[in-house]
Amino acid sequence: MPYYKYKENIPSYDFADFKKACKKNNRDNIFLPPNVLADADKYFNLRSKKQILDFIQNNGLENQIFENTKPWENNPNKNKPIMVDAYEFETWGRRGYIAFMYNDKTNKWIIKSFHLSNNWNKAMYFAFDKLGIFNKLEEKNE
Amino acid sequence: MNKRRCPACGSIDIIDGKGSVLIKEPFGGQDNIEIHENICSKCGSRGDFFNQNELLIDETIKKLKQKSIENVLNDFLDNKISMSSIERALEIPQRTLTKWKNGANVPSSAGIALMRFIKLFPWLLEVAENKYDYNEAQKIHINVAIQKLLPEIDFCKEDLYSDWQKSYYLNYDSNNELQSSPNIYSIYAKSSQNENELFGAEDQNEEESKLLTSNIAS
Repeated sequence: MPYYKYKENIPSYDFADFKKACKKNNRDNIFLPPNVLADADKYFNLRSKKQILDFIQNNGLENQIFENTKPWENNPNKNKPIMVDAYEFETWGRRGYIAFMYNDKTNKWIIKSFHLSNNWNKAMYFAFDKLGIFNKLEEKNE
Repeated sequence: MNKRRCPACGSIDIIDGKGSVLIKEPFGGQDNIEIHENICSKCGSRGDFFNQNELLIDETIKKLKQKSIENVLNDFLDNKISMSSIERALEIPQRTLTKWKNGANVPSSAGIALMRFIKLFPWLLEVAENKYDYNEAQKIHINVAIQKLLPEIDFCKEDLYSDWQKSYYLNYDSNNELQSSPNIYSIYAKSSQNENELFGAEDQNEEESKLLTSNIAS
């Protein structure tokens, strides 16, 4: 799998691969740090690794939009960068943020962040966009 | 591959430690449990690297959920709501709730959620009694809301009338024809040009207001 593309506007990983890793049989290959577990409980009522991965695997991250891909800052091996992909998603009217990376040395996926998005304005923007309000406004202006 | 590797960077410099996590459950209280915590000395990642805590956390959540259902059902009994009547209203097989309470059967997540909703909104049982009829449900809901609101309103308060007037006229400015968001009262007042037509005479006496209170309450 071509995991390292070093391009900022293209995801470094195929999201389907990440979702596949969330399947029941592959879950040992996913690591969730304590901050992710705490945020998932706080913001999304997901209280265990099982609940979080079930949610992701069953398309819980709705209307996901790729945000960016950046090198992992704490990587001790600077010669071999590991990229972190970030996405925004929606669930029950909330806009969330997820960031994950894959280390081919350990063959593990690591979810770096899983919390509410800071871009609340974007949530409104996408809602209006979905309703076609922007198009109507543009037509009116013309 | 060595199994004891940091999942993030692959380093084998891992420090084993202990941490604690507080698990809360609505109506079930909380439990502070001790968990394993691994720290990678190379990249600084920390957490449960080898999935040692998952089972313990799941067991604790299960235990608290059982406690939660027991507390909710005990609360029903304390409030003289019998389990058999709940089972009948919700068309749940008889003795299901007793089995849940005793731990003989484990309630599903949907069952726990239902019990929590009934605990918070007992009038939902009345809705079920009325076979989930939409109009009846609306009446029950509004009735409960009014009963909840009535004690908050002091009908004997002297300036209640003027308070109402203020709130109704919040969006109405007689000097300004353009209103940002007119309400029905302001529109009516505008067309009649007479505020007394809408709210009655200004010198409405106290007896009349008491009569109005009793009518609303009944």
